[in-house]
Parts: sequence; C-alpha cells; structure tokens
Amino acid sequence: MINKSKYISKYNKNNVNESNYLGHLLLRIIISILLFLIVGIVCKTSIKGKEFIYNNVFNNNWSFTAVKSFYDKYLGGVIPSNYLFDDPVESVFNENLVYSDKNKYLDGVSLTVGKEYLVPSLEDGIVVYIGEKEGYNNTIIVQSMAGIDYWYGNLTSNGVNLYDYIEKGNLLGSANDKLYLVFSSNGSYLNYEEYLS
Amino acid sequence: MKSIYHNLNFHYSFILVALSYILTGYFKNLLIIITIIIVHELGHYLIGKKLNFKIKEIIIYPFGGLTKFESYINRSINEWLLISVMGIVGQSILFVIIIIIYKLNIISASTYNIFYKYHFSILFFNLLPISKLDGGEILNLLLNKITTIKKAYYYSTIISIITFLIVVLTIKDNFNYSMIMIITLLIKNIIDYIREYNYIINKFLLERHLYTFTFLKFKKVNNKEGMRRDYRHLFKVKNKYITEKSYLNQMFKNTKCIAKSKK
Repeated sequence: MINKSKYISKYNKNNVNESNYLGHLLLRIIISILLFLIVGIVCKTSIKGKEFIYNNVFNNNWSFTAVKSFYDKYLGGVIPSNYLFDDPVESVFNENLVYSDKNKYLDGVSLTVGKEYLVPSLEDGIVVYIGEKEGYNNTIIVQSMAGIDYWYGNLTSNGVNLYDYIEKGNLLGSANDKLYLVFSSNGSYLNYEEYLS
Repeated sequence: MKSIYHNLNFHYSFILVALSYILTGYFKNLLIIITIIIVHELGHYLIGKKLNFKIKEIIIYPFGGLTKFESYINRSINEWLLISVMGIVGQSILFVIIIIIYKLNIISASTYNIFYKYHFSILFFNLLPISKLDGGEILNLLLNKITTIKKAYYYSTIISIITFLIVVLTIKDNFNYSMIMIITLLIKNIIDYIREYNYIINKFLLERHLYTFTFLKFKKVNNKEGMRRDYRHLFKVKNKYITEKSYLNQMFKNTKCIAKSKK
C-alpha cells in the first residue's frame, strides 16, 4: 500500500532559506572596519610595516603568473584546454623585436626603432599595467611566466587590454623612433643585457 | 527580486573555479562565464514564471546551472519542453547580440574569442543527454511523448550512463582539476535520478488521484505499467473497463489524505 502522507509532505516541503540577513550584513561591516583599522594602526606604529604595505599594494604586482604556473603544473591548468572549439578570430602578428641602436636610459635601455614600429612582446605573460610612467611616457608592463616584469615604454597600447594573457610575439602597440625597455623583479631593476638577447 | 535571492546558490565547485580565475588574472573570462550562465538560467526562470511553475532553487555550477522546478509532473509535456529549451534559447540570443556588437567594433576580438568558446562549450555540455542536464530533460520528455512513463525513465537512465562513459573516455587525456568535480557531479546526478524513480512514479499517480487534469488522448491499459503522461486511461480489470479515477481510488483506498486546492 502506498503511504500517501510521506509523498505529500515531501511534495509540500518549503525549502526557502530565511536566514538572519541583517545579522550577517552587520558582521561583514564590522569585519571590514576591523581590517581597515588594523592596516591603519600598522602603518602608524611601525616604519617596516608601512614600507611592507606600500611595496605590496602600490609597487609590486600580485604574481598572477606564479599561481598560473602552479595550476598548469599540478592541476592541469586554470582553463581546461578546449580542443573542441577553436578561436574564431586569430591574430596574424608574430614577430621578433628588431632595433638598430641601443643606449642605457634611466633604469633600462632605449632602443632605436623605425617610424610607427609595431612592437612585439618578448615573452609569454599577462599585461598588468597600461599607463604613464615618469620618463617612459605610455608604458605597458607584462609579467612573464618566470615572474620578471617587462616594461615597454613610449608606445601606444592599442594591441592589448589590461589583464590579457599574451604570447611571445603578440602585438602590443606601435612606437615612434624610440622604444624604452626596463626589466624588473620585485621592485629591483635588472641588467638589461641579460634579457634583451 | 527578493524571492530569487533566497533561491540562488553558487555551488562550492563554482566558488573554487572562480577563485582560481581571480588568483591568475582571468577576470574577463570569469565575468563572461558568469554572464552566460546567468542569462541561461534567466531563460528558465522567466518562462517558469510566465507558465506559473514554482521555482524551488537555482544552483550555479562551473559548467552551467540547474534550475529546480516544483510543479505537477502531469502538466503537459509541451510546457515542460518549453521550460527546458528556453535556457539554451536565452543563451543563444545573448550570443547573437555579442556577434552584433563585435561586428560594430564595440568589443575587441579577444573578448569575442572568449565569448565564442565559452558559449559553445557550455551549450555543448548542457545538451549532453545526461540526467538533470538540459539535454537529459529534453530527452526524457521526448521519450515520454512516444512511450510509457516507466519505459521513458528506464531508457533515459541507460542513455545517460552510456553518454557519461563516452564523455569520461574522451576527456581522460586532457586532465584538469575542474573535470574531477564535474565528473563527480554527473555521477551524483545519475545516482539521484535512479533513486528518485519510485518517488516520481508515485507522484505521477498521486497527482492524478488528488487533482483533476484534462488530457485529450486516451489509452486502454491493463495496469499502471502501461500509463503514459498526457493520456487518460481506461483500466481493463477482469473483462470490465473501469475509469482511472476509480482505479486510483482503489489503489489509494486505505490511506487518508486531504486534497488541497490546485496552486
């Protein structure tokens, strides 16, 4: 014999989650205020703490590529490789960097390139900054998979958007006469000879 | 939309995948995948509201979403089919809009590439005939149009398991951590589907006993094994034909129940 009541109660079960919304909201506000006050107090009381926070928030970038390398190595990648559907629009630009002269310039090197020269990327990586840098005009900073930041100065940036992952040889933008390159890692500037080959 | 706030859940597998996207800088990809999945579920939600289906819950997974409805299984198959199909339709409308704004040069080629790949991947995955995915629901409803409710359930289960095995064999070369979660969820879906069999069949019978539905077609059967959705039945018992109402009265006669009004 079929037990009707068992099916009716399951059928009519009200599954709406009426939780304590206001309480949770207040808890989140208090935690946010607490975090803000902790950072403020650290900045006010210790010089080392202030420098640590300043460096990590304003100067260095979160190492996206380090996390991505970890995922690629141990977990099969962040995005599963999609062999069923290819890119409908593929880029046709794949060049090497060509320049006629190089001179030391500020923290890096200044290369002489042609007029309206299309600048390719030197390494695979993610674009972490597009904007003005003092002395370098419009700059694109690419964080390579090894963790080195590649700065490309004095160029337009109509080839990439912020946080795009790009490959070696992809178009970044166009430079007129001069292209500035700086190689940095964790805030310190590296010798351009090693990375320019 | 207070009601949808209580019912919209992001499954933990989705949170893990979203976290991996944020930590590696794939912000655009994450935004696009969330947009596509939400538009897909919105398709189900809006048609459900329009046809007065009660929406129990919407769960977001990394491969798409699941909108759980709670309504009479004896509503017409075409209504249920419309609900299952509107997710894909909504997603396709979004994709057509994206193509248009790409041709108008409003979005870049890289954004369009990401949209294209995610749209077709999610579409393809949701159309797989595995239970509880859109494809599985549509398959089950189409089977119910041509055979009895019990046989349709049986064939849906078999096809789900076969498709699942084919999928596992195809992807075993390209390992990705999110696939482990997705495979586990598919296995759970199939097992839940098999365990719900008795509940669904009894719900089908109990609704017909408690409420009045009008079906245009009718069929003569010997017992409840031959019953079909969208049909009313005449039961042949000992060389006499009795109506469905009296047959079900006989079946449920020793249980007490108060019939509620149809929602």
